[in-house]
Amino acid sequence: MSSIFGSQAFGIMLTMLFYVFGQWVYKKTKLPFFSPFIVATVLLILYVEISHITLSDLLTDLSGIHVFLGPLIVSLAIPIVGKMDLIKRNFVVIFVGSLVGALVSIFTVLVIAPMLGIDETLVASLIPKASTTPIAIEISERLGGIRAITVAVVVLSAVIGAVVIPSLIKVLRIKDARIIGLSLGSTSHAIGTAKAFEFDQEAGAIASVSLVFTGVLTAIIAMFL
Amino acid sequence: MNLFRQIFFILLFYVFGEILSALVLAIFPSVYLPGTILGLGLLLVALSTKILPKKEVESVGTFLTSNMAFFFIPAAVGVIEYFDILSAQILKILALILISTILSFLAIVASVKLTLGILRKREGGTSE
Repeated sequence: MSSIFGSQAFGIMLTMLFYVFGQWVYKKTKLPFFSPFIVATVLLILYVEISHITLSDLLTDLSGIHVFLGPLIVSLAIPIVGKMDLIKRNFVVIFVGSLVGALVSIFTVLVIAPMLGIDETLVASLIPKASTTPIAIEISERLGGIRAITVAVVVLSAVIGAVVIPSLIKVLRIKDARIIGLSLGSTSHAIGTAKAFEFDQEAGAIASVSLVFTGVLTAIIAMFL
Repeated sequence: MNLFRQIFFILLFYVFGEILSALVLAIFPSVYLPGTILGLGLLLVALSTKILPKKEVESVGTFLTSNMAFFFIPAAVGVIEYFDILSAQILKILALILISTILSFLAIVASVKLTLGILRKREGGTSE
């Protein structure tokens, strides 16, 4: 029996079950806190706590899912190529906005984290926070960070950005779709992109492009750290 | 829509990226460009030059990117190991994220406005 529950097939099945359940919960509640990702992660953590399966065994079982992160990053070329016209028209602006977003995020972490007394071992995990999660995991591992902490920090950043930035946009009365898209896409990733689409279509499209640009630029800047 | 071909092509570009990354590292020992980022770049070039038609990767690639969060659940579950360190520092981390987000936002707004201004001047103020 235990060999069935400790198998890759069971682990992956359970993750899918929790994720699909999360999709259902999210559809019913519409609360950002009940995103399929958060629901599935919390349920898996509870599962580890109450079952006899250890975390490291579960993670070994789930490595089949983790394997797809690399191909997933490569696939980010597909949404980009569909927006080539938009990119050509706004290349300089998108490049500058994403570069500034990536640089300021990295340097504020490097400068402010020690000022706040944040543990040194956490800094490497915090550096890629402006990057979209799959790329952030790679950068974090490269810098000697802890991937689980990076995922938590990136998701927290996205949520905070999606709450704070739309109100800043309204307070400062920013109307330019490019600025709205860039500021949401390069600080708040996928959640920010969804918010940008609520402002307008062009802002959303720019946000989805700047999400990829910021991720790639963060990876390139991290090369020099 | 042959799913095997699509998965094959995505994995192929992933492998191309990893090979290129290793090559770059062999020639310039201090330059580490992640293979995934190079794979993304190579696929972008292949798709935009139409060497590889978009339909050869579209369904699988879109499935992966639009369900991104699912694929990093395993990475997120590991967070229980770090509950102690995270809960001890969570307020500081939240403060850092908040400050960093606001500063990034202001810097992006300022730099994009500046860039748009320069571009407009170059074009003689006729168009955006």
